[in-house]
Amino acid sequence: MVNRLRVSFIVVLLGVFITACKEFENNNFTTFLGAIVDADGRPLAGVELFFVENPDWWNSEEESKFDRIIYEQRTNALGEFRFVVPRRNFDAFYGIKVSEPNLLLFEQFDQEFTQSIYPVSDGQRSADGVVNVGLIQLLRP
Amino acid sequence: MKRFLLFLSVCICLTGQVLHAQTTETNQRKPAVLFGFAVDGIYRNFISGSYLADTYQINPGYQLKMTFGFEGYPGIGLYAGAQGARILDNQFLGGFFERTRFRDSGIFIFYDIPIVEKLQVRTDIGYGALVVVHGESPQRFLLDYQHFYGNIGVKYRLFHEPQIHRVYLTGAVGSGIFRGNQLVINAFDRPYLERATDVRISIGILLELY
Repeated sequence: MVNRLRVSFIVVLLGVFITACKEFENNNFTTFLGAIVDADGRPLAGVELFFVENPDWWNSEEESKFDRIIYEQRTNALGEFRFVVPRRNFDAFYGIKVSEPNLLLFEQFDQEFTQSIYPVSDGQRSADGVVNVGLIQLLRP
Repeated sequence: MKRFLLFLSVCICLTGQVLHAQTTETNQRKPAVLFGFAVDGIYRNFISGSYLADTYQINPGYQLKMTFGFEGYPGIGLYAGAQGARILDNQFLGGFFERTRFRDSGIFIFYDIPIVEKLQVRTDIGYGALVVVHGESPQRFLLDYQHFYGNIGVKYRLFHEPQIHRVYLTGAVGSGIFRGNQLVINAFDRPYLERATDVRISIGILLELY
């Protein structure tokens, strides 16, 4: 009886462990939606964007770093972009990057940043997996 | 409504086949019980314009089938199969995966129509679950689809031992509709990912035991 309980406990524990280790959530996608605008808030069409993985965005002194480019996309006529990735079980960090010398103006932690990478996370998403990035201002030199 | 019509047509088909079989002279005797085991090579192609069609290049695969029925009557069967696939450039999987497998399993009903002594036409309709498996555990990502399908094919008897077994060469063509109702994605892309239609051809060997 005790042995059976032990075996059951180990099996349950193993199941929980395997589930916890799963990197992706089956059947789920995360979508990052937003638009690129100019200083006057007008949408910018045809802006080349790169969706990158694990950006090192806070390191403003150095050249922007990231693991890899996931997608390359241009904004549509309304300045909109849409990036879709498989949903991860933990908060994943991505970035929306513009070709340098262009820069993006954004706020994080009540601070204003001017960088080539706008960091996004899938931590706060709606029921259909959409993360609304909102409007991002593009600064051209 | 579509599901109801499909269900209705299946019921009418089944009832018709049973009545036909019961009233046929050759089936007035006690029908033999038949167990079937089949191995099929299968090639499937999704019709373009859907996520499944545009994202994967599917390799030929296999399907194992087990059937049960009475001779001259519609029978029932189970199937399971797998196919490998190559991931094409796409805007959904983010380049996280290299390997993909299509795992398919389900249930079907079939009916054999004799043409000549050695040749029969086999029709079957079925319902199954298709799982698209990306990557390996723990970096595995699954997409679940349900599908209805219909096949029409031929069975050619290669050899037999009366009242013991028969071995057939089989070939079939078919089509199915897929629905991914469990998928969670933005409203714009949902129809593209959720729906697909495939066409398939298969060839295989069927062993029927009395």
